[in-house]
Amino acid sequence: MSANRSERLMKLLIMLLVQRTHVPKERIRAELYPDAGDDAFEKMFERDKEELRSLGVPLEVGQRDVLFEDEPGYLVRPGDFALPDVVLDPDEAAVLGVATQVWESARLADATLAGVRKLSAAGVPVPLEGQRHDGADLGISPPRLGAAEPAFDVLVEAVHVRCEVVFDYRGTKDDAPVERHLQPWGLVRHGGRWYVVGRDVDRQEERVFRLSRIVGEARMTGRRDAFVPPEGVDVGEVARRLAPPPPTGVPAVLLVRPGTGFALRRDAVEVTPGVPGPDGATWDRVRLEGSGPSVVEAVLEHGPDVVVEEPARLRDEVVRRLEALLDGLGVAPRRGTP
Amino acid sequence: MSGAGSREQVGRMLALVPYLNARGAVHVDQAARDLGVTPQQVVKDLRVLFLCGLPGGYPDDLIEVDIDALVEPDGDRLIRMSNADYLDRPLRLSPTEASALVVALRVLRTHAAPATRDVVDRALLKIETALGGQTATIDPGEGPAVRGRDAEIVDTLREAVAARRQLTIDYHVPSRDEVSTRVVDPARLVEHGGLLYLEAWCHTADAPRTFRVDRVHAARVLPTPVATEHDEVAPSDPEAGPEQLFVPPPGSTLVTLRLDAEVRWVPDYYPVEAVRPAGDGAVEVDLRVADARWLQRLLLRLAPHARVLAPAGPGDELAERARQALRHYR
Repeated sequence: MSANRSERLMKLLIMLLVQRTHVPKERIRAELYPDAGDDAFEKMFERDKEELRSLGVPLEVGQRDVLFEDEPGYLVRPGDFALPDVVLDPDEAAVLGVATQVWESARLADATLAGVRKLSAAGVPVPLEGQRHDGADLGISPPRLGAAEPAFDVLVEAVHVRCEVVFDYRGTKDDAPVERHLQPWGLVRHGGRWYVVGRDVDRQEERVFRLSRIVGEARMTGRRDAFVPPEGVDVGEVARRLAPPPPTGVPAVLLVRPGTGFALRRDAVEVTPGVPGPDGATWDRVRLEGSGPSVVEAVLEHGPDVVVEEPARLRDEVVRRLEALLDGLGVAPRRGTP
Repeated sequence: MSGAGSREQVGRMLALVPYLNARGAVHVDQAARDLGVTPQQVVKDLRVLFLCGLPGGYPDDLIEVDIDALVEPDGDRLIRMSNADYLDRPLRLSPTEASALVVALRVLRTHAAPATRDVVDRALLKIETALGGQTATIDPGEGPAVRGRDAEIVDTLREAVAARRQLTIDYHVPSRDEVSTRVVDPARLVEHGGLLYLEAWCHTADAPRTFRVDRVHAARVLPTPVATEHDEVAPSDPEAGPEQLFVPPPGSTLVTLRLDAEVRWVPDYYPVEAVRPAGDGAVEVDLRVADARWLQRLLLRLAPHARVLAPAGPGDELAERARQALRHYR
């Protein structure tokens, strides 16, 4: 039963917290698991230790007596256990209350609340549920941080317990998902997408994987504390280095039919109205900072309402793709000239 | 309750004891509010704590709680606890808790008005110091890219949300390539898939609407306060979150596209219902289309790498637009 289990976990924690030296496993067993058989005890004890560690309890394994090395003992040092003093001002505490509403992931929202609850217990009055506000009086509209990718929660856990993960991954060039093994160092959000950074065990290299391309579940495999990330690694830096943003290209000059192309106008560095258009009517000239891949697509999307003036490379690309489209539709591209 | 319930319960108890130690006798309702749980749960947790104590199991070694005061009809509902000094400091934050909190604060910071940003910075500094630099495992990045004039618009939207005032916005509908002006009651800004959205009550449509912020071309705060409550705008199921943005409207058509390898990233950016490999790196996807013009623009955008497989429809209009566009280059 759960209440019994909570009670046993608390008693185990208190027992290890109040002792000055490592408590032998046999003593723990006699005290807290008196009715369990050998196998059942090992299983329960392993799970209980895991639960306490996952709550953040620094459970230390050591030898009570150097002469009897096969006898492991356990200890929780009060100095490692307790939260250092944090004295927050009321406005800072209010901000923490708003922070509990940021995560959309239930797992991370719970973790934030649990963390705030600990800080709150230390004496800081943090406004939580029941007196929650939406941050309006602080000038904050609390953003919601989404992590819709199903693998997100498992990877967060794996990063923190330093456990290897396995998942099926479909890269941009893979036809079918491929099983990958990773020692995850951290998670990075870039352009609204989550990426996991770590050491690819199969390829023996640092790699970045996009969470939305993980097919099905990610699973933790093997023991915790199985690896140590490189000293001082900056996961954001690794992600930016391995997955650079697309090139922006040289500046682009477009002609845009009046009353259309609002998205392009919005991104423009300059709009000159009333210039001669390709059909003899009056159009607008729109200047963009770059002519990268996304501009090609934006131009194509507008069909006959947008024409590229410069650069020639962008012009050629648009023409080539429109001709290929007509080819694919079974229509000769050069037919139909008035 | 599952095993995970025990873990949560222990977590709560480890916060409850230091909370009570720091405050003395506290009313159970007050404790529940401060810790973000129900009063019933507080009593349940106390009943378990009541059974715990120093090893040995002598009555003097147990944590003492006056349960009667909490459950008897004439009880004063004050929590009195003693004999738990060894738990008087809260447990340090687990790595996941520390990361979750610090990331939430960093994200909050990017969305805060300048004066509040300063408060968030102070809180972050204190917390990161207390946590001792074990929080660099999740990098939330910069959030949605906000460029040039967009930054001003986002500031205006935030100002209106914070002040609970109405807004007038010029909003671009790309499937029609039109801009319309509307009066809205802004409720909140949400982020999804790298984009920022404004959830609002639209007085023009007289219905809740979600607007993509990068399609708001102009915004002005009105002197009038909002006329609707946040709840009227809120998604009915908070768990569903912004996924609801992609609920297909009634009357939409299921369209099957073949996507060449060059554009197989489409399912990462568009809400598709199914993806099937189609050989040579190509995929087939099913997606809901509410507006034929939207589909036509998508096909032009991806040209020549996307083709409609079903339903069989007129490719004529698409071909005509492509032909007209090509004419401009000759």
